[in-house]
Amino acid sequence: MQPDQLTEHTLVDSLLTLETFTGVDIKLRIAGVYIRGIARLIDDVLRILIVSALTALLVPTGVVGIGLAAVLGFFVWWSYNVLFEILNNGVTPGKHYMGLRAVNADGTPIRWANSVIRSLLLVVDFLPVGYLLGIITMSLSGTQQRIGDIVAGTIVVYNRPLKSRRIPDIQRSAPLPEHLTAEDQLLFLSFQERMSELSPERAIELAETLEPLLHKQGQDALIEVNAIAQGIRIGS
Amino acid sequence: MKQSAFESAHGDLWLSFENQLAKFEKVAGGRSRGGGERDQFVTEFEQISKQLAIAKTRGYSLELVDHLNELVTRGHFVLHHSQTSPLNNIVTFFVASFAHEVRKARYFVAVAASALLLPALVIGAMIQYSPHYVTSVLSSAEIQQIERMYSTTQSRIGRERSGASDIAAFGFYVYNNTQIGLTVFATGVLFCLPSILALGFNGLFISAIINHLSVIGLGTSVWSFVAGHSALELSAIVLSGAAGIMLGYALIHPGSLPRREALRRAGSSAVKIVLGAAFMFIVAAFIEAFWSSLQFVSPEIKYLVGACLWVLTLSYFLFAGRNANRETSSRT
Repeated sequence: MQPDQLTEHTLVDSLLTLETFTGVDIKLRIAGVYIRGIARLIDDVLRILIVSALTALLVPTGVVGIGLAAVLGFFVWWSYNVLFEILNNGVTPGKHYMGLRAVNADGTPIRWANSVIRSLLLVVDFLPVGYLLGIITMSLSGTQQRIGDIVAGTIVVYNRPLKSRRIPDIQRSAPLPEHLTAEDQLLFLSFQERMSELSPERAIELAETLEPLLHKQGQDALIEVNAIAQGIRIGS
Repeated sequence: MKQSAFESAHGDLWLSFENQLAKFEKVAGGRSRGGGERDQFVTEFEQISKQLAIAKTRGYSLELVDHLNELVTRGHFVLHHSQTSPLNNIVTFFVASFAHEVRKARYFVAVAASALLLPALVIGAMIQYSPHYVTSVLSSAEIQQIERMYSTTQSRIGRERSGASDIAAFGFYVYNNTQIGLTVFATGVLFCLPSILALGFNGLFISAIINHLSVIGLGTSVWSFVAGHSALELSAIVLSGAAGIMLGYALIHPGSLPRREALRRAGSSAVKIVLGAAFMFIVAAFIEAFWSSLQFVSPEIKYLVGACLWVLTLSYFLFAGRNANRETSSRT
């Protein structure tokens, strides 16, 4: 079994597979209701704050101020999302804070028309109260799209910072135990790469689950697992 | 090839691509980047795409595959950035594609116009036949308020004015009317119904007010007030409704397309119509606040200006952009 097929069929995840024009598949991580809800909340609070500030500043200055407040308030309220999404590559302040980005469903940058549609239809997604319709549509759509996303043909994905790859520097490599499938070898590699995110105790605990195979315990088990992983990586 | 050999063979390329990505992403997708740099970027993108495919089939570690996936995803995003200037788009939009989209949607516009006009004609005829029918649409308090607003002793006429300055009125009209238009559009996606109802009620109220005032002898006052902005405002509400009905119709009758795709296509046309309509609402608000309410202009001149604006508006939608090349108008 190819490792790629393995991940496609055995994992339940929020990855969307797309094909680029170079013919290679890429995977986008789609954001769910909870994360997007918080981003939406931040954006709506910001919108309300800006409009309130405009009102508080302009209305006391007289009738002209009331007129200006109405016009400016209107523009801020309806263009907030569009302006940020177009000028900032699909990232509003709320999305920025949650590490999200709105993109076209084919992974390409959002255009002004898409952004206008998804922003105008927020009104519908809000219905009857608290974005209920949007939440229901997202849950049913399979790609976490609210009504505005479906009509605009957009999705919201995680916009992760590129992290530099750090691989533990291990000199010793050990020969492979027998009967390791490609899948098993992949597990060794992943374990080695993820080790820096684990506490030492947890790393040892995980390494010790291989005791029937390696007959080692404690720190020794960890060292052995690392050595095997290194063997897979550079050849032994 | 073992993974570590693969990594040391291509690591430099990945790093240089990462640096380029950072640069391109900063300038809104590299719109202003020169050709040479872009060519190099494309070449590197192609190489890394290939390496991602290789890494997957050779079963290299998940983290390496993930890293390459991230590089290719970012590159894909940057490479698809629009190269045209937005200002150019706005000009072509108003010169050609707005009118073109409206003509393409003529059946929806016809439905929306009927939804507005039919109730208006019916209630109008009823009030002309027997004036008491106005109470079936408006409460007596509303009737009194409207009569006061348009009575000839007022120095300035119009809704919600009460001596406020023109700018305040302009602000109110922009805020109120445009908001209604955008909401009528957006809610149309719910199977057309909200758009059609909103159009119907608008027709009902507008017609009831105008006919009631005509019947009680304030006809000149109200007609000369609405004449100036009627062309843009009524067209704008009809177009907003038509755009909303387009969305709802795509959901009800997607034809041979999947509903999702039908909605997306309807959306890309409808958004142009509704944006144009929003602009019309704002111009209409301007006319309403600064022209329609002027008392010293005689009604005849106001009728003339109103008629001219109707002719201009209708000919714009009938003829604008007919000869423009189709490529610009069909592009999304």
